[in-house]
Amino acid sequence: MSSVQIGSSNINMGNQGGLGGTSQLSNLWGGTSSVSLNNIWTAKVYARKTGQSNFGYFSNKKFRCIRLTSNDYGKGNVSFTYPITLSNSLLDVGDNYAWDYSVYSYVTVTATQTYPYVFQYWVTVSPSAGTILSYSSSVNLYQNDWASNYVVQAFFS
Amino acid sequence: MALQINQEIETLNKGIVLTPYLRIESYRIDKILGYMIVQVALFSSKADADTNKFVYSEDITEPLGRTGQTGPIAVSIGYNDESINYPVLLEFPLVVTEEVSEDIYETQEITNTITYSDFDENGDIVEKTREETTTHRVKTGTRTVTKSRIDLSVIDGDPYGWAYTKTKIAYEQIFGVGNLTDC
Repeated sequence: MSSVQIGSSNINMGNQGGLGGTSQLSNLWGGTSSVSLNNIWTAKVYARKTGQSNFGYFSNKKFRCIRLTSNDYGKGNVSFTYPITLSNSLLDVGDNYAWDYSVYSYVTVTATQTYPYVFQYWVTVSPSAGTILSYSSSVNLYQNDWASNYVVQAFFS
Repeated sequence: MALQINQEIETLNKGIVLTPYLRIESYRIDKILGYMIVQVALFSSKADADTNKFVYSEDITEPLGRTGQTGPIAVSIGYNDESINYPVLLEFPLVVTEEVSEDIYETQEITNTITYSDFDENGDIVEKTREETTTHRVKTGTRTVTKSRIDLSVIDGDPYGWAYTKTKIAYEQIFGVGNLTDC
C-alpha cells in the first residue's frame, strides 16, 4: 500500500464544527497530534498560528496585520478599541492578531497619553514612513489604507 | 434605522454613556449555510455614529479627512458593576423548523451457504460448501426528527428590518427586555 506523509505542522483545515472539531479529526487521523482548525464561524479575529509569524502567514491573504507602537512608552500607550479591545502594557500591540476585513469594515486604534505628556498624532512607520494619519488620539483605519503589513506609531511629546 | 439602549454604561474611551446608540455596520447573507451575519458597533450618540461613516466613497482614501472619526465605544464596557465585552458580530440562522421523516438503518449479518467445486485426493471434481457471513445495511423503520430547513425567505424581503429585530432581541438579553428602543 502506498502512503503519503504529511508533516504534522502542515495540516490546516477550515471549520469542521459539524464533525466535532479537533477531537473528531484526531480520531480520523490516528497518531496525528498536531491538528488545528481555523474556526471561521465564531472567531473572526485570528490568534497567531503556532510556530508562525502572523506577518508572514497572513500578509498575502484577505487579512490585514497592524502593529501599533508608541514613540515613547513612558509618554503614552497604544491599543485597539474596536472590534476588540487589545493593549499590551507599554509594549507594541497587534502582532498576535490579524484583522479579517471581509468581516470588519474598520478597526479603531487609540493612543493614551501619560500625564504630563500629550498625544500629538498617528504616523506611519512601515511600509512607508512619515505620513501623518490623524491628529485625533482615536481613529478608524480601513483596509484600503495599506496593502500589506502596516506599522503605525502614536507620537507623544 | 438604529437602536438606542436606555441603560447607562461605563466606557474606556467615551466616559459614562447614558443612552448608547447601536448601529449595524455591515450585513452579510450566506445563502449556502443559511446565515445572516451582522457586524454592530456602539456609539455614544447618533451624532457620534454619524461622524463615523462616509458621505463619498472617495473620502475613504484620505485618513486626514476623517476628522471626528473617533471610532465606536471600546468593546470592553462596564455595565451593572460588571465588566463585559459587547458582541460585535451576530449570526442569525435563516431557517424554519420542520418535522421530517427519517429512515432508520441497522447493520445486519447474513450468512449464506456457498457451493463450490474442489478436487478430492484422486483428482476428481467434488462439490463442497462453505458458509460466508456478510454485513448489510438494512432499513428497519422510520422516525420523525426536527430539522432546520435553510429558508432565505424568512427575511421577508426586508433584510435590514429583520436584522435589527434580531439584533434587538440579542441585545435585550444583555441589557434587559424593554430597555432598547428603535430610532
